[in-house]
Amino acid sequence: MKKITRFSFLLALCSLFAFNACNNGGKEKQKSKKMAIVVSTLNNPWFVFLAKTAAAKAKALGYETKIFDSQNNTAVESDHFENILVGDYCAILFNPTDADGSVANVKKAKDAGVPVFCMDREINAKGLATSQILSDGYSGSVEIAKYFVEQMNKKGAYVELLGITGDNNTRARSTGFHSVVDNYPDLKTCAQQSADFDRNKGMEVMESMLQAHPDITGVFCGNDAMAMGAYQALVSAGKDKTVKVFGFDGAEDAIKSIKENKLVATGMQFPKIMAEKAAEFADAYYKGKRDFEEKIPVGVELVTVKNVDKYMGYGKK
Amino acid sequence: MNKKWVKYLVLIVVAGLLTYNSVYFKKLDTKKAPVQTNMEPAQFAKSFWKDKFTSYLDSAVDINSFSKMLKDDPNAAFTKYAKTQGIGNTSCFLLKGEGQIMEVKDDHVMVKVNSGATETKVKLNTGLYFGNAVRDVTGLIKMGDFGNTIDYNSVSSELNKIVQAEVISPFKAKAKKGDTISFTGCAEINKDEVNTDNIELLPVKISLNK
Repeated sequence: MKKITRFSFLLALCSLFAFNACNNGGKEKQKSKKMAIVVSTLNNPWFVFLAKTAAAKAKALGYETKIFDSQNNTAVESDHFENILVGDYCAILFNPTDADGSVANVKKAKDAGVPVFCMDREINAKGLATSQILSDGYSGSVEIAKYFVEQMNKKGAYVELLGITGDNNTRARSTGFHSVVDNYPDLKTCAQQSADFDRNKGMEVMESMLQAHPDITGVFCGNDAMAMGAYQALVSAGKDKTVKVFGFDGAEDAIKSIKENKLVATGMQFPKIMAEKAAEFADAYYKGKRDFEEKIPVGVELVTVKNVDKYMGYGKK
Repeated sequence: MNKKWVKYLVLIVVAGLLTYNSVYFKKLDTKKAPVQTNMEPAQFAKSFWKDKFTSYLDSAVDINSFSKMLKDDPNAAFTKYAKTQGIGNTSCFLLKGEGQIMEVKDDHVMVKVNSGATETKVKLNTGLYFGNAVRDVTGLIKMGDFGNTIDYNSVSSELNKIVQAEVISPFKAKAKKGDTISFTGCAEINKDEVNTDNIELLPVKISLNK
């Protein structure tokens, strides 16, 4: 009798393990109505807006939300993913820090059965994120560059402030810009340096560039935060009337600056559209939809003093 | 004796089931590396132009009927003919027509299109072109087809080079005021800023009728 009881206990234990193993490798378990929103940084108002809009939309759709700040660091981002994957979240609305460096995190989530919806920035991989809703930075920069050429009268020296070097948006914006400007031999690039999409770094980099290249008449910045920093440095140097500053993003302070004839132009991205679409997709996934377009470009529009009245910070009026 | 054998058999089956469900074999490559494409944008653009784009030109819409529809009911024109990538206000249209060259400039050629009673003027862009109309006008190339947006954008740039070399440059060398031509071109139109008086096209096929 004792032997039989021991055997039954052993059998029950084994069955429990076996059931667990089958369950993990088989059908997806329905998770709680909780969405994680992971953004590259909360040290830039544009990303704060992206995160808060995604959270607001998810809440409106009936989900609990939590925002995670990766501080532009893939190691921090990776820790967030570890916590999220044991936290019973049903989806991750994700703004990656690095197009290559963030791939492993998305893969971990996919393996754990948690769908990832990228916002604004892409990861360099196919078949991992459920959908990537991406700003069309290349086309936006082409439009800015055409206006840059016109405003500079096709000649003069200029410098370029780049974003985070591992981000595809940095490359897309810079290559889009140069695909136009490099066709004009009298427009000379003096320097190109990263300021990490950061306002303070933008100011510092601009200060040192001005010392080395005092005769520049134009600056193209990969985002508005750096453009605002660069403009501040130009004001301090007394060159804000002679050097034309071009940004990218459509941030609130940049739109205001264009109205006041400080910045010349920016590219309006639509973070509201991207964030809301990501939350809507995650909701649809929770309700059973599985066929999502893997990458969706969101158009960028040129904002100048001529049409700035149609726009407000982060979107159209 | 029999009971003992049944016990061992059950234990072996359970252990086997456990082992089978606990151990997974996958190629190291698939665990280690993200899915990458090794595509060549220039080669892709060349093949696309030759195998797909040129045959797609037959589906171009007559510019007169399009122009009329755009004036009368812009929403209907967009619904019927627009090709839009993702989410945005700007769409591409493939249009064709015939007309007489009125003016030849460095970066464009003005054409008066044969349209019966009304006169339609079309601006053919023959200068530098940097947009994505050639890539996007067929709707056959999607961003999701590419491992990254850099390749996707490079394809656009390569297609523009083909148009410049095979269509625009030979046309610019011969075009004269008074010539009659047949043309097919791509228009990019913003839904919020429709201008029906001035349709601008990037030519992708032109024949001089003289």
